[in-house]
Amino acid sequence: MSDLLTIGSSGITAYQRALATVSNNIANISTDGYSRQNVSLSAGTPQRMGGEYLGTGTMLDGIRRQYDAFAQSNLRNSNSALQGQEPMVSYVNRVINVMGDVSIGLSSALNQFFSSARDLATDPASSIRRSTFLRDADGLASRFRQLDAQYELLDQETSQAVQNDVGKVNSLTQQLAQINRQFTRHLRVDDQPSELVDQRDRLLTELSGLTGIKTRFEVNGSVVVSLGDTVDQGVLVDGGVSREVAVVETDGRLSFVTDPYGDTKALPNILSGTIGGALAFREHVLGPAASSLDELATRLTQEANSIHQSGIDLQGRLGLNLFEIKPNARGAAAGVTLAITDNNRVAAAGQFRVIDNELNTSSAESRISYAPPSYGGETNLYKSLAQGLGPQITSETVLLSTGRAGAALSASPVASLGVAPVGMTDLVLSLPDVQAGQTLQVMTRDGRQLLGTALSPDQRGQIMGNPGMEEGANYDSTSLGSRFLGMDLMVGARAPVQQIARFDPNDGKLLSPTLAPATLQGRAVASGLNLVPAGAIKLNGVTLGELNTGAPLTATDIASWLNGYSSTTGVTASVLDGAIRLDRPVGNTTDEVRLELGAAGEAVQLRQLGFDPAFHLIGAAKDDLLVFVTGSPGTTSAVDVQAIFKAGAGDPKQALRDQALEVRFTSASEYQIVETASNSVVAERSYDSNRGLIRYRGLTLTFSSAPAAGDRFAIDANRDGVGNNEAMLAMSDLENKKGADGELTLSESYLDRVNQISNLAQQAQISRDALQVVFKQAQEARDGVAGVDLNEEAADLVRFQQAYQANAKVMQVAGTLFDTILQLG
Amino acid sequence: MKISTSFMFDRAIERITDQQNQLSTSQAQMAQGKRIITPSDAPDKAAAIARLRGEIDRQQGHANTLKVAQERFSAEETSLSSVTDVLIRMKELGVQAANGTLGTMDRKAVAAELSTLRDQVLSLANSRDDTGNYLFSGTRVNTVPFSENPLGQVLYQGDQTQTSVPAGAERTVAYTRSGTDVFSRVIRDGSTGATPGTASFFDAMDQFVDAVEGSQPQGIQTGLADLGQMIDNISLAQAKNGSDQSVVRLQLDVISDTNLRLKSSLSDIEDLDYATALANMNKRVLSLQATMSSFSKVTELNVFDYLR
Repeated sequence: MSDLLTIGSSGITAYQRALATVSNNIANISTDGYSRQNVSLSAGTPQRMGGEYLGTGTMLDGIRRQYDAFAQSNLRNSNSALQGQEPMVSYVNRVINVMGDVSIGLSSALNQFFSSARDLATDPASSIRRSTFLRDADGLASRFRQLDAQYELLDQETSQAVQNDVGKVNSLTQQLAQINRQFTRHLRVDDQPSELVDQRDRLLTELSGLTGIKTRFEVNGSVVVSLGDTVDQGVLVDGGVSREVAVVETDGRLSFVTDPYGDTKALPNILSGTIGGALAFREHVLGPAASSLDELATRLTQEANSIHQSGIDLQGRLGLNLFEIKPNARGAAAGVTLAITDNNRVAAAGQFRVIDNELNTSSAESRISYAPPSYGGETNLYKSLAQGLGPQITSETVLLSTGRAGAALSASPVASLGVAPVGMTDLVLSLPDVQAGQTLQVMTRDGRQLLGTALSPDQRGQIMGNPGMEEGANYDSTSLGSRFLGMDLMVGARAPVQQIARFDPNDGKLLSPTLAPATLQGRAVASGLNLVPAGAIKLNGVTLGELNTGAPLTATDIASWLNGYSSTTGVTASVLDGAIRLDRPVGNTTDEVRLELGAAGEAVQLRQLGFDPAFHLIGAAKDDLLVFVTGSPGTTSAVDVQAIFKAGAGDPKQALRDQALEVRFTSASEYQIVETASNSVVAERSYDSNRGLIRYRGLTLTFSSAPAAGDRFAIDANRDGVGNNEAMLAMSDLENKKGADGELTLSESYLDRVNQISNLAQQAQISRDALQVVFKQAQEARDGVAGVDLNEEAADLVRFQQAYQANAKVMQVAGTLFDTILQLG
Repeated sequence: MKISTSFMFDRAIERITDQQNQLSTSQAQMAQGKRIITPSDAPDKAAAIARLRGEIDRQQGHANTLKVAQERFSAEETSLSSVTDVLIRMKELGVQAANGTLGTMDRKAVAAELSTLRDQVLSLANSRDDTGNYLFSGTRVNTVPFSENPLGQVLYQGDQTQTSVPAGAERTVAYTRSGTDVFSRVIRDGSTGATPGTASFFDAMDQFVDAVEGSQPQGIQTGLADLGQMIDNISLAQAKNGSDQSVVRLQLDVISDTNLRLKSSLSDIEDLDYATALANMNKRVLSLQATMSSFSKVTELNVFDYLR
């Protein structure tokens, strides 16, 4: 039934709805995430009236949400990207402000430290400058700790921020799951309430600000959210179910898992959103900054300590560590502390000093410096012999060869047994199966022969050609058999006073040992020994005469020969099972037994007598001792060597400091270096006035002008040179010392790190600005579709109002028409 | 393209905030006279600024070191020139004593004065610097360099170490001086009849005083020759001192030039150019005003206002 009234009322109903929609749009002008709603009207179904179709008015087709899925997803993605840069920008700026700041950055503290080191170098005796130096060193250490604490703070803050954000993610996913459940009431998204769909999009946008997400929309509008590379990986929301995300921290690295209390699965790394941004900051800025600070702290500690240890303090004691790193600290930088607190312990002075003799005729002034020497060749005993730390005995078979290319193989065989380094104690190197003609030779690096037989020119050539010899060393045999540097050395067999261990029978504790007289027990005397020449053997320092019975010697012959010297040697010989035994008398618990090789003796004779010839070093080596075995010409053979010692290599520098040396110029071109306590000539060389320097065991002496004959220069350990500033000079030079990493000084490598972080800060700033533009465009695009424009609404309001009024007029007209008809009657 | 109302408001507010931020930064820059207020203002410059500041501090440190050295050198100079004066007086007295017409008693009187002068030289040789360190004892700065043993013989107690102090990059200046380099031994060639050889400074001086005291003509001649050498040695030390001082002065000039250059580089980076800054600020004020007034104009425009 089509009539005016119905048509008019359908219009009124429709436009009332339309006006309500416009009002709703206007009311929601400031609602976040609101999408503009639009009414669509359609004409009513026409009715056929006498061959014509007549309209039946209008009807409300529906209220549509104005929406563009593409614009919405674009907004989410650009939001993720932008939010990903935000933490980077703000946190990096904080790091830069800390690192580049004058009061908390490392630069100023480093400068201050080196500056007070230089100040101290101008007056090392001043206790004021010493305490200033210590104060600034402490300042530097605490600056490291402060910086580290700042990094630690940022570490905790970002970790906290990530935790918070993950909490928000979990709350958002729960809400999304709830919305998904409500969507199940309708089959199509268009049937869903617009506000619910808006709510879903708002939550998704918020979620995208925290982390980059992947989404898929079902027909009914419910959404699948995942954190993975595709929608099906790392699903957080699917239908009405949400999975919780949890943060896992391992070694300062944050990673994520889903469903921490159920079916736990690892999630891929989050790369965008504020979570991604905080992670990127931790990984690319904070981590490297903190670890490079740790490296710097370690480097400073090592280098400053090594310099400080090479100095001596105000009271002549050796320098200690200047800095130490507390072992249980979070990192090196967090644990750096000043290791000394006493001004007097600041080691500013050098450990060596040279004093020119006042009466020197030349005006040569000498300077001294020390650098650990490096020699070619062996630095310790040959191969496994170096492991013979008692009670372990090690043995090696050493081949004797000429060693020189082109020389006749059998000319003069020599083998090096390596070096007994300074500090090695109570070494015994024995040759149990020594062959005829084989001899032990002991040399210093300066070519002073200490034990053995004077070398033939050919042997000399080989031994002096050993790469372990000091530059400019000359062969010298005058020290043979002397107490060189006061060292007790011998070749032969030796038995100390016996110490018999005792234990307390009650508690099993070790008591002081019982002493028993020294006893040297030999092996069976070799058969076929016919003669022991005069001067071949020394017993307790007494040279023994010839033993010759005209027949092969028996053990009894030998024992009675040895007993012939009892009154001077203090030793009695006896025979047991064909072997000789030498005893100190009962009650003598102070003297040992020494059966030494005499000047005319050969090692093999000792062995024939039943004793192992061995090189004995009693006490500590005060210089490096080079040990060789020479063979007799015409043979090339091997020799078995056994080694045992009490303590291995010591500190060569401190050993050198304990020796008072004097350089004496015997002529303008020759000099001796003399150890004055033992009066040993330790080196005798020629002086090259063009080079103007002398090197000895790491010491370098330089001369301002040529020294003259008779000039003397004493070298000592500088125990009272409080005005000496060498160590402090080295400390202030550390400022300019390049490190191993790309040749940067301490300060430069710090600034380099500042630079790298600055670059990151700038990059972050630039990409933030760029992403902001992208985000704004996405927002504009979304608002262009879904936003509310008051002008548009005003126009709609007027339009719908007018339509409403017109429809009302239609109804009025219908009424009037009806009245007209009524009046007819 | 439709512009939604809330979008228009948001954007306008954003722009105004932006400009206000810039204005506040400009204002802070003007207040501090610095272009860079916190390192994050110019991350790319942070390292350069820290490096330049460090370099300026270091130069200042070098200058301080050199000033300390200069004080020490001038203390040395004072005592050396006094020593020369005393030695010249001793030589005059020696020439007088060598005169054959002088009686034994007269020589004893001369010897008395010589002995006083010798004590004066000894006390000058034991001078200290401003910080109380002995000038001529090498690095044993707390030890009296020349002290008399019970026999009255003067022995050198210091050492020979000459230290140097840093005075700029790759540059050091000599610092402590050993006593025997200044008060050095005399060499006797035997021409005055003395045994050829060397004698220490104060031994030679004592022998001279004894010779005058005992009227020994040969000893007086030897002493005069020795005095000549002593004066030469002291003069040599003075010359060295002078050249050291001039090195220090030169180095100080170099440092002050370097410092000026560094400071101007630093200023180029971090200091504010007021003219530009003021112009910028005015520009920003103007544009903020424009933004604000245009905002009110644009937002006034609303169809609702025309619907009456």
